[in-house]
Amino acid sequence: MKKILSVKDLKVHFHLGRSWFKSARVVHAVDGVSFDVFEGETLGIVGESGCGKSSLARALCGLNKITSGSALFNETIELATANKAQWNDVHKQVQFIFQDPVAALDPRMTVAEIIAEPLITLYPQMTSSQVMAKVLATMKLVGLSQNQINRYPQEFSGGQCQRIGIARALILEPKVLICDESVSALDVSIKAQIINLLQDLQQQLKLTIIFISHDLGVIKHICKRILVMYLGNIMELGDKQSVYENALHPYTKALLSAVPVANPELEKAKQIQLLEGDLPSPINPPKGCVFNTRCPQATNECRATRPQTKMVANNLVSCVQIH
Amino acid sequence: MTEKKIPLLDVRNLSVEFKVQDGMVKAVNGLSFKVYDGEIIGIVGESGSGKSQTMLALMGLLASNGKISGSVKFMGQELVGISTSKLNKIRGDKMAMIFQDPMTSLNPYLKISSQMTEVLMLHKNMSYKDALAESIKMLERVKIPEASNRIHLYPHEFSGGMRQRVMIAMSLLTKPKLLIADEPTTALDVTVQAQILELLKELRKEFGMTIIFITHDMGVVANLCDRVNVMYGGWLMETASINTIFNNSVHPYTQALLATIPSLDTHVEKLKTIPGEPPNLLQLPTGCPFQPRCSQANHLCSESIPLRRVEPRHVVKCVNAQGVVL
Repeated sequence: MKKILSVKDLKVHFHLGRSWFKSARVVHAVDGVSFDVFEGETLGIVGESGCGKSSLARALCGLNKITSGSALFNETIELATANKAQWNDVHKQVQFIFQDPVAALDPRMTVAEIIAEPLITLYPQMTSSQVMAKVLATMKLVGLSQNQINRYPQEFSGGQCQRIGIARALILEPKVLICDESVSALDVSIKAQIINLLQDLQQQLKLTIIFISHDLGVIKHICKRILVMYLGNIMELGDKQSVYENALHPYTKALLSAVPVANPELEKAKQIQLLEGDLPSPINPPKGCVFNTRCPQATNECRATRPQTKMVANNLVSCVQIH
Repeated sequence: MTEKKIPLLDVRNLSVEFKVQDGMVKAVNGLSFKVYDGEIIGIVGESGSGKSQTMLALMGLLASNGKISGSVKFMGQELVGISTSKLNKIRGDKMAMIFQDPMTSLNPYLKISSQMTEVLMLHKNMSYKDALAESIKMLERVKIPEASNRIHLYPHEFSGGMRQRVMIAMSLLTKPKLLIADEPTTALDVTVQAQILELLKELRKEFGMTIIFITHDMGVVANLCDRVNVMYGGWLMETASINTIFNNSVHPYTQALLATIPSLDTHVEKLKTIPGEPPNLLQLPTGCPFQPRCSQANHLCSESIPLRRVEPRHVVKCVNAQGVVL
């Protein structure tokens, strides 16, 4: 299968200002991750808040600067060193859907203007009638009706606004769709509608989707492969079955056991592996394995050496204790 | 638990309305339920279903344009229409509330110590010194490390999970009979949520508390609760034990809600959806608010719908339900 995106040792760091009392500090949001995304697949990225999943996704479409490492798009464009013309090319093929559907839309623009904007920006040679035809076709695709075209975002519900956000992303006919918690803010009954829409669109348009979420139930439902992140590092990467059923990394296990399942019998029976404490600060990540401060199996080796990712069974894992 | 026992909380025909520019918003519509001693009862529903407004009404915390009618009896005492000074003696003392976002419900200008000791000095007439000692004990109880030092910090110096623990500790200071928790884990990560849920279960055992837990997460309900109230459009659609709700629910909304959740333990090719959108509370349909989206709706749904008891402590508000009319 073709690699649509190949990420190697990617780092995204943010520099915080120096003050009188503090020396310059660096947030290690993404700290050396490597993975591939294949054409047509759905890759899920899971992790808790602060694990760097959003910083990673934003870096892949140019919303954050890549500090170091490499991200090769479509085997041709290197995102870490891309110039403006190359980024324009990437924007035509990689689009982003945001978490808060209402905040992502400009309240002073009509639906038609919002959806047409990327097209007008990136394809200035198109005539207005061509743009209009494309807007109407895309609205139909995501289940919006044509008579809503001159309305403003505040006249729509959250689910409808997310459809507008999806239309805005799809009007460019992208190859890759990055969904950053795109269904998290929606009510359950609406969430299922949008998930189904994304799945239908993926089949219809042969999209590659990178789906970021903290909701492991949603990730399991729509993704083929799953990448588990913790504090800017990859903990485990593998096929859905092997991650959910045979998780190897202690963090993946703890994360999976912490998710409450909507089934009282299973909930009463299950043993939750409680993690102690909170996520450490990404300004001063722990030495060695970043998970060692909360890991129930941490040893001195874990505190001293940073684990390399390696292939164990069917998963890529970074843990010194797994062989 | 038998029906004859006096409930800790007895809500009858509770309605909450708000007057807004465009008319009346009916947030809660004729709600009746009972909560018995020692239960953990979950209230689930989507946004706008009235779950938070019900609890705010119980605590006398409605916005100034809110109008409440019906009856709420807490430990035999009527709370609707009671004076604020009388209510102040009950809330914070016998009844406490934890909110969704601990950052906005703690005062950022005050140290945790002054916020916690205030509760005890007001309700229990303790001296500052005793109140501080008691507060530290409670912080240790909710597993905050180095509580005696940390109590002198400001809220922003705690992480989200720690702040929520502070909120829980604060609400437990007076050993309330009833704890109302409004989505206390929604803003937290799953691993931290698991810690807080375990903590609540332990504390319930230790203090014999009754908990009303508002959430939209059916997984959390399955983990924590004994009973569930399912709400939609300001109506209480169904109330039953969790086993009944998850395995033998009667109301089409409950069934549809459970079917839409992507779960870890099952696999489906395509998620079931509920067509349409949640109702506009300004223009509720007559009769059942769920009927425009319901697959089993018929002409009777737009008339007045009685509550029916399907079996003991399993009450449903649907024309298609079989059972004794209440």
